Amino acid sequence: MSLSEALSSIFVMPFMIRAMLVLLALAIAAGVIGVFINLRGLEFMADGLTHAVFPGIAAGFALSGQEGLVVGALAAAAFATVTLTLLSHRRVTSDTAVAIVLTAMFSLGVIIVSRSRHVTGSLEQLLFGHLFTVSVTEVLLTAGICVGALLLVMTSLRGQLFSAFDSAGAQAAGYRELTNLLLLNIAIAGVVVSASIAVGNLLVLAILIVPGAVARMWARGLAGVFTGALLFAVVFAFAGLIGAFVVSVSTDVAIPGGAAIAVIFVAGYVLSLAFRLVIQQRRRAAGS
Amino acid sequence: MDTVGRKRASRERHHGVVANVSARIRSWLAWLQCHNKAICVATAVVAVVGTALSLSGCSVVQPTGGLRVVSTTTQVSDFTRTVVGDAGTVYGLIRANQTAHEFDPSARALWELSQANVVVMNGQGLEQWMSAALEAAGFHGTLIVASEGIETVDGDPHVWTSTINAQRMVGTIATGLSRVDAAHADVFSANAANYQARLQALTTWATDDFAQIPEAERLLVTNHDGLSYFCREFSITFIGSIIPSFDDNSEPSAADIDRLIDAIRRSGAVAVFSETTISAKLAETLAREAHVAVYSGADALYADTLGPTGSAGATYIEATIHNVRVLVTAWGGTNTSLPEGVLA
Amino acid sequence: MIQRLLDTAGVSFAYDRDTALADITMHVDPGQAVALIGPNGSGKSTFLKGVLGVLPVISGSLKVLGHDRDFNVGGHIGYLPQDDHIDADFPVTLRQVVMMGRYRRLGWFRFPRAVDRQAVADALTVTGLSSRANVRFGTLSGGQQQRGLLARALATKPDLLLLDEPFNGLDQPNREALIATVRELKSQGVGILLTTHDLDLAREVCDSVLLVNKRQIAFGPLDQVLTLANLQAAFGDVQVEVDEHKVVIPGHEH
Repeated sequence: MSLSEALSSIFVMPFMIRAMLVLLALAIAAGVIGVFINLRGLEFMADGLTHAVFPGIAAGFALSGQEGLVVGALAAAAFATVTLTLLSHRRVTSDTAVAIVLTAMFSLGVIIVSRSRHVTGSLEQLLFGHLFTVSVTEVLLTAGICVGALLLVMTSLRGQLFSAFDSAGAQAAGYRELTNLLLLNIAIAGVVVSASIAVGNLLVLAILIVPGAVARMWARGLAGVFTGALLFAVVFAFAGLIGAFVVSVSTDVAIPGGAAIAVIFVAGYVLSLAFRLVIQQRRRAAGS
Repeated sequence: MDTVGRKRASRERHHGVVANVSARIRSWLAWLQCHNKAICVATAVVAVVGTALSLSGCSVVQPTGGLRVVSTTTQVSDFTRTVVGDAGTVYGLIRANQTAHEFDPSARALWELSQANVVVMNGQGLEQWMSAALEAAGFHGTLIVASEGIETVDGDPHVWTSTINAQRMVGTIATGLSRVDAAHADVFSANAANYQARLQALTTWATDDFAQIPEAERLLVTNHDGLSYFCREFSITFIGSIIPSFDDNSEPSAADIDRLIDAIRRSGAVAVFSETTISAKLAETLAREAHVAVYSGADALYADTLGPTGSAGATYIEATIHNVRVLVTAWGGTNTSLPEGVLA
Repeated sequence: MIQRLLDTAGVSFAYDRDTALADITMHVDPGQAVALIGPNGSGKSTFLKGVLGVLPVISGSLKVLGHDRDFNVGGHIGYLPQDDHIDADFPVTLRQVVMMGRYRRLGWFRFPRAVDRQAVADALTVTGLSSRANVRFGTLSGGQQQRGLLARALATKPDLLLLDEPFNGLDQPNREALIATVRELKSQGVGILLTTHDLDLAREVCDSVLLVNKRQIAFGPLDQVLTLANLQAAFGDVQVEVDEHKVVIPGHEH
C-alpha cells in the first residue's frame, strides 16, 4: 500500500481522530501543569504519583475491565495525592515520603496483577496504554479529567505562581501552601490518570515533564515558558502519533503510540539540550 | 556598536548556521512572549484543528481488485486465504507464533480493518478486542464468525483444533464470502470443497495413526489447555495442563503444580508436551519432577498459533500433521506415510 | 481610639509542637515602627511568620488589623522575606514579581487594572527600580532583589508592613534610601514591624522595640527597653559581638 493512501486516511479514521482528541487534551493539560512541576521542582512527586496510580489501574481493571480502570486509577490517585501532599508538607523529607509511598503502592499493584489471571495478559496495555484503541467514553473521560485538572491550576494560577516563586512570600500574602500544593498535585494526578489510558502508566512522565523542561531552556519570560511548553507538547504529541501511524502502516511493524510519543518527547528534549549546549559553547568562544 | 551587537555579529560570522537558527528561534520566542498566553493557546488550537479539517477533505482511496479481507488468528487466516485464493487479498492480524490472547491492534491493523470489506474471526470470545477494534477503525463491512454453528464445550474457544470443526469453519467462511461477493461464489465454494477434502483426508490419516495406541494410553499433559477439541476427536484423555486457564498468560501456583504432578503419576502418562508459544521451562521442570519425558523446542505442539513460513507448522494442515506425529511417536507408535493430496 | 494594627497578649508560636517563641505582648499602631531585636535563632522570623498566620498560635491572643488570626488579611499586610531562597532562573520579570503584591486584591481571575498597574509603578519608583522593571528578577543584583521584594510588599498598599532583616547586605546609599522609605510610609500611617541586629538603625527609624530571645525580654519605647540589663538578658554571651557592631549600649562603658 502506498504511504499517501495511508496518510490521506489519517483524519477520517475514528481511531486516529480519537487519538488526536485525547492527545490534544493531554498535551494542553500536561503542557501547562508541566510548567508548574518544573517551577516548583515537583518532578519526583509526579513520578511518585505515576507509580502510586498503578495499583488503582490494576485493581480497577481486575474488578471490572477497561471501564474499571479509570475508576480504580482515580481512587488510587486521590489516596496517593492526599497522602503524598500531607507527608511532604509535614517536613518528612519530601523525597523519602514519596519513595516510601510509591514503593508500597507499586508493589501492591504488582501483587494485584500477579494474583489476578484476568489482568496478567493486559499488563502490557496497562503499562503502555492503548492510544490507537481508545473508546469514545475514554476520549470524553480523558478530556473531562484534563479540563478539570487545568481548571484547578488555572483558578489557583496566581497562588501557584507566587508559591513557586517564593513560598514564604505567598504564605504571607495569605495563600495557603497546603491548599496550593494539594490543588497542583490533584491536577498532576488527573493528568497521570487520563494519560495512563492512552499513553500508558510508564510513559506519562515524559509527557508531563519534558515540555516544561524544554520550554524553560529557551524562554525567559512566563508567557514564553507556558506557550513554549504548550506548543512543544501539542506538536510533539501529534508528531509521535502520526509517526507511529505512518511507520506502522507502511512497514507493518506494530508501534505502540504511547511509546512513540514518549520517544519523540525525549528526543526533543535531548536535541534541545544539545542545541542549547552548542549555543552556550559558541557564545563562550565568541565572548573570550 | 554595543557589546551585545558586536558579539552577535562575530558569532554569526563564525558560526553562521547555528547562530542564524538560534537567533530565529530566539526572535520567534520573543514574539511569542510579547503576546498574551491565551491568544497563543487559541492560535495553536486553531492551527491544529484547521490542519486536521483541511486534510480531512482528502478522499480515501478505495481498494481496487476484489475483496479486501482481514482475518484474525493464524488458523482462520490460513482457512480464509485458501478459500479466497486469487479472488481478493487477505491480511492476517495475528502473526505466526502470536496468539489472540496477547494481541493488541496496531495502527496498521486498524487501518487494514478500516479498508476491509470483510472481517473473518474465530469467535467464541477468543478475540476480546474485536468489537473495540472494529468500532475504532470505523469498519462497515461484513463480519464472518468462522466458528458459527459449532457447539463449544465449557466455553473453550479453541474449536479449530478438531479437524472436523476446521472443515465446518472453512464452509462457514466460504458461505459468508459468497454472500458479500456473489460474483466469485463459485471460486470460493470450489476452493472450500477442495480444502475440505484435504482436511477429511487428514482426519482419516490421523485417526488411523492414533489407532495404533490403545485409548487408555493416549494421555495428554500440556502446558496450557488449548487442545480439548483435538483430544475429543481422537479419544485422547486430557490429564492436565500447567497453566490452569484457557488464557495462555496466567501463571500456576506451587499447589497447582503439585496437584498436576500427582495426577501425572496416578494416570501413568509418559510425557509432558510443551506448546510453541509458551516457555518450555515449566514443562521441563514438571517432567523432571514427575519422571516423564518432555517434548519441547522442535517437538513442541502447535495449539494457539501456527508457525512462520518454513517451519513444521506453517499451515493448519502441516501443524496438525506435526502434532499427530509427535504424539504418536511419544506414545510408542510409528508414523505412517501421508496419503496423496493432504499436502497441497 | 485608633485601631491597633497588631495587638498581641501573651502569644506563643510553635514549630512542629516545639514552642519557638513564647509569651509575647506587644502592639503596633498606625504610623509606628517597631524594631524586633534579638540574637540569631531567638525567634524573630518566627514571630513574623506567626503574625502572618504561617505558624499556629498555641496560646495567648493575636489580633491583626483588629481580626483574630483565622481571618485572612493577606491583602493588607506587606511582607519582605529574607532574600535567600529565590531561584535565580525563575522566569519572571521584576514587574511581575512586584505585581504579586497585588494578587490578593486581584483574586483568582481578574486582570490587573489601572489601579494595580499604578501601585506597581509607584512601588518601583519608591524603590528606585523603575528602569529595571522588565528585567528578569534573577538577573538583578542582591541589593536590587531586596528592593524589588520591598517594592512587592509596598505594592500591596499595606496597612501593616513586616520586614525581615531589610537592611542586611545593603550598601550605604541603599540603606539611606530604605530609611527614607520607612519614614515616608510612617508618615502615611503605615505600621511597620522590622527585625534587625542593628541597634543604631532601630534608634534612627523606630518608635519602640520588642526584645526577644525565645520569649519576650522587653517591649516599649526605645530608651526604656535598650538597657544593659535587657540586652544582656537577650544576647547573653554574644554581647561582645554586639559591641563589635559599634552598638552603643546605655550605661555600658567601653
